[in-house]
Amino acid sequence: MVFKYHQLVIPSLTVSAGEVLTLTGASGIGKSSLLQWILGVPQPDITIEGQIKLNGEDVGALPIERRQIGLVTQQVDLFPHMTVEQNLLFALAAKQGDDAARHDWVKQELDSVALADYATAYPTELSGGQAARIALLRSLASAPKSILLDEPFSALDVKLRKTIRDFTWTTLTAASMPAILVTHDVQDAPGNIVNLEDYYYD
Amino acid sequence: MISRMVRVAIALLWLILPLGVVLWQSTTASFEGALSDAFRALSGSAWLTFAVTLITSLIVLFGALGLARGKRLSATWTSFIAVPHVAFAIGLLWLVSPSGWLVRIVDALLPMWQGPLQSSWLSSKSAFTLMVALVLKELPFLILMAQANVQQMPVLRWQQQAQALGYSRRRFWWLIVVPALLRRIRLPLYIIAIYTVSVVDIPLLVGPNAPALLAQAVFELNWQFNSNTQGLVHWGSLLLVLVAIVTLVVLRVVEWVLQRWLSSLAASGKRTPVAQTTGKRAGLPWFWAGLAVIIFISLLLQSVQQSWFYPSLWPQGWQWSRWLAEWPYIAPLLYNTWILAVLSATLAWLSAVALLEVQAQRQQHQLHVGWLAMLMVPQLVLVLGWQQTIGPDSGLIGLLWSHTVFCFPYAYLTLHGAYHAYPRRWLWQARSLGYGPWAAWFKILVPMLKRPLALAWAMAFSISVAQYLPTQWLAPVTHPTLTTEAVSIASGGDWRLGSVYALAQWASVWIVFMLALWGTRARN
Repeated sequence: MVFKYHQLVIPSLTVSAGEVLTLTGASGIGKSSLLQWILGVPQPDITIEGQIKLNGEDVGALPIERRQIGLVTQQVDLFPHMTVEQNLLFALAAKQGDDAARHDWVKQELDSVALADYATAYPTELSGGQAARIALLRSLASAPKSILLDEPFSALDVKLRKTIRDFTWTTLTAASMPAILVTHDVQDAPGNIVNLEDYYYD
Repeated sequence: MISRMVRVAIALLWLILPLGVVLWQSTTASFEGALSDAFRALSGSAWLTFAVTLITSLIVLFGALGLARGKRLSATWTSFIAVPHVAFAIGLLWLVSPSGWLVRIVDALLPMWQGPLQSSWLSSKSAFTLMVALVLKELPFLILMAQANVQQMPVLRWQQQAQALGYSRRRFWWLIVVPALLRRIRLPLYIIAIYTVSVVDIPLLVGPNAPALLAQAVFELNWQFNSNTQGLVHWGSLLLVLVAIVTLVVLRVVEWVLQRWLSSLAASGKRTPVAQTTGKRAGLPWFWAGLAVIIFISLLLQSVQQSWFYPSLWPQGWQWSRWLAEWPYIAPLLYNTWILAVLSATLAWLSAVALLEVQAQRQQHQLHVGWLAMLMVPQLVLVLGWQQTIGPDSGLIGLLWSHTVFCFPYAYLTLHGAYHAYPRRWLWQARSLGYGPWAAWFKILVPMLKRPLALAWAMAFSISVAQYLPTQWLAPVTHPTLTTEAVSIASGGDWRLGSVYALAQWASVWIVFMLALWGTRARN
């Protein structure tokens, strides 16, 4: 990755099913840019060369919607004009199944996180912890092959942070989902940590 | 490469071609003489235009700088800004004329009053009345632009710092915020100045006749189809460009002097304690609301009165049948106006949205002045160029083209802030869930930006409804509109009938704005 003032030369990184790879480093070094590139967002100001393989398939040339990579961010990004239920159905819509089956699935998922009463609530009516849970459920609802976590816990207070962190790792492990986490706080990291400052060149 | 070629092609069609045609016609016209002769013939008008434009622009500038400090004008106020100038002027004239409603109220309150007024500067057609109409109409536009820019600055943090250093709020505003704001509102101020230089319909209604403003003089000369006056028309339109350039240069110098003066005041470190003001009254939303309501009522009463002699506050006789009698004439004009406005607003809106989307994808968040270039050239010159190129009665296509060109920058301006403030990560989220770019755009961006999108369309619609010069010069016979008829009737002195057309024009715009606001109200 060649930035305006520096470049990063990162060796091959592999994430297995159910494993979380943590990327850390100073602000501005390129953590989020790397994550967006993996997701498929064009990076007009950065030159990036490399390959992204999912289950051995090169997805680097595919548009975002065909890469099957989920995203959870610090801002949670639940669509504010949709209710909780609509947010989850929106993620499910691409899957097979009739209306009743999809609604049943949403109900089960909300039950599993004790948020069934919030099905018709709008995101602005949720607490930070509730919104974070829904955001993770929504990302998983589209059945991605991998998931990207862009500082998903940094807007939460210390107590809630631990609760949501545990919920996230448990959920991802249960789903055997490979994940890449970007964070400033190494305490967030459940496993393998890569510090991008080690690959920094002026 | 292709996008650059498209931009060059658009610039050619919009600007270079019409300006080139006018320049070419000027130099080859049979008019004996040149710019110096034209200037001699039109010098009175040119100086008057320069003075009116400069004074109006400066009053609007200082008014906006002072009033932007206060309570923010809401999105609803865009509907006031969009009140067509013609309807506004016709209503305002009845309000402030020597025997108008305001004078009658004073007369009723002060028995010793010897009204109506006989003063020439407050006559129904004067440079003063023209400036009053333009200032009242343009000031809220610049206040809104200034307040939108203030929102983007960390004013509260700056204010805390300044107050901690012992500065009053008012001194902080003028020494810290205003210097930063001046540069940011330069573009809308220039748009107002260019509009004032080139406006024709308002001077026809409330402006002086001898001498007339330069744009009005050129407009009237262009109706005299002989070779001698045609030469004068071309040189006159170039003189208009000259007046516009000189005005912009003077405004730039004023800005520079003001910046230097405020900087020296700030550097002096003087703190003049003044009474703390909340600033809540500044911005004066109630004033604009009251003015709009009074002008509307004034138009309504005028449209149904049969006799209304001085000093009576209310009409003595009513003629309700005027509306019914006029309906057969208004209906086709309404049809023409709406068809043209809907088509041109839609084309302009689609172009603005497409441009903003491309810019957002390229992360180009700055307002591109090049796309507003048609507002930086006097409208009369552009339309004259088109008229010379495509003919005096070009039909719907030529008319649609001209309206779209002038609607586009307003749709772009209205939507620019909201579109570029929209976090693109919402779209990435939707696409990461399996939706394509179009589906993500329609299902996520459109519902979230529905109000700015709708208001941008409504703004473009209102601009089309208000167009006078392009309609009058490009398709006067085949496509008369409410605006062209309202100006024709009211400038002929029939204010009662003019009010009927002005109200129909106002109602058209108002209905669209209300639908845009009502249809996009937030559910959550």
